[in-house]
Amino acid sequence: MMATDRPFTYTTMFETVRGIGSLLAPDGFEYLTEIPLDAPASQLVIHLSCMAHYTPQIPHLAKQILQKIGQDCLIVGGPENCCGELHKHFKDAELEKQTARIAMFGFRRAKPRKVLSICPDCDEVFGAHGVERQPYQHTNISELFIEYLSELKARMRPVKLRIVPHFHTINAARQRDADNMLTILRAIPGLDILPAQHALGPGIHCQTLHPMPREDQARMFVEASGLGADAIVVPYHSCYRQHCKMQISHGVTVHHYFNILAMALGISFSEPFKEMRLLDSVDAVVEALRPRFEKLGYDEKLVRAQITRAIFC
Amino acid sequence: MSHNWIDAGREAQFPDGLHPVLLGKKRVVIARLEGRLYAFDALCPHAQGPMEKSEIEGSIVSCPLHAWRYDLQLGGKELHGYRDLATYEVRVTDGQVFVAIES
Repeated sequence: MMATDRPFTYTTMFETVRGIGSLLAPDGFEYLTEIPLDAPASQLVIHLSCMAHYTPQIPHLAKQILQKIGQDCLIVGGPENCCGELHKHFKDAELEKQTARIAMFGFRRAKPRKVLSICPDCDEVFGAHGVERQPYQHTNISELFIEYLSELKARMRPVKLRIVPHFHTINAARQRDADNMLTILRAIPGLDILPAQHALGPGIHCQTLHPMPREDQARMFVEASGLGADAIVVPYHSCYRQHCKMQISHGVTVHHYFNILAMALGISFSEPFKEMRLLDSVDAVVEALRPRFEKLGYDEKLVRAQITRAIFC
Repeated sequence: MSHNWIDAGREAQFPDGLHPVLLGKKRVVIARLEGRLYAFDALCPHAQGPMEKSEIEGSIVSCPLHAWRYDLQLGGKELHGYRDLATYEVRVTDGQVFVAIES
């Protein structure tokens, strides 16, 4: 890796995805950046979106949850499979289209029945570039969990938590994700889902560049705390990244809903992003990650910049 | 493999930055980076990304599609160990730029 302090470019963003992704990856987490031309058919492909590399336990848990019900899958990720959202951000429509098409056509090599997304931005961008014309169904992964809910329910054990679900409802797709998440959570025995009034997030998800306003975020946590919630449960990796720091000030844990599903299914997991964010200091995170980045030969100055960009944004 | 020295134009046509040119049938980018001229394929070897839109850092050009990074001082070596970018020898004679393209 090369040192760079440039704030927000294709290179800095994709290098941060690669760098932080490798530093936070749990043991045993693997994904393909390119499906071989002669790859065997795989019914299911999980698309690991760029920013989801910062929270790798989320796609890792998705795979483990599917394995629990006998569904194997490929995880395909890396900047090589970017949906084009970054190019959309830079307002380069031609690059956005080219990038989206490269990823969508790349998935075909696995001859999948479904390509499962975990990111609403990817859903939107792929949707804008004709993913419905691909020979696979592209869908948010919550749809598959609903499809297999009876199989999942048969394996669930109680999870004794009082939770507030956080959600987004700006359009039909996000409303459906919210409904699916709630249906999945309601299926988990022992969960107490609390009637919160201030858990609606803005836009399609809690984006780094357009986060939930601070006063709204604080209101959500104050309300959850007042209701006696153990956790706020979020639908997207982006919401998880934005909100988990609030554990420090409000004492309410933040979980992605895959975490809760994993608990119900007896799947253990670590949360490296949250562990790092709760250190609440770039210096402390650099020290915590030092053994790993030194082993990988990464430049400390670059790692520090990437930690700041990815974990403390 | 033999080369043809193809006339790419006057040196003044290539100020700092990236300049796509067509040399015969070959699309090439001529770059002036830190005062030095380089020539390389106009398409990224990964996914045919438009290298004339590369981001520049010193002698490194990064494809804008997925940020594969090629160091021109190292002959187009990809810095993550991926496939290298094809580069071409450049010569300036009497203010005229020539690029060595395989014949």
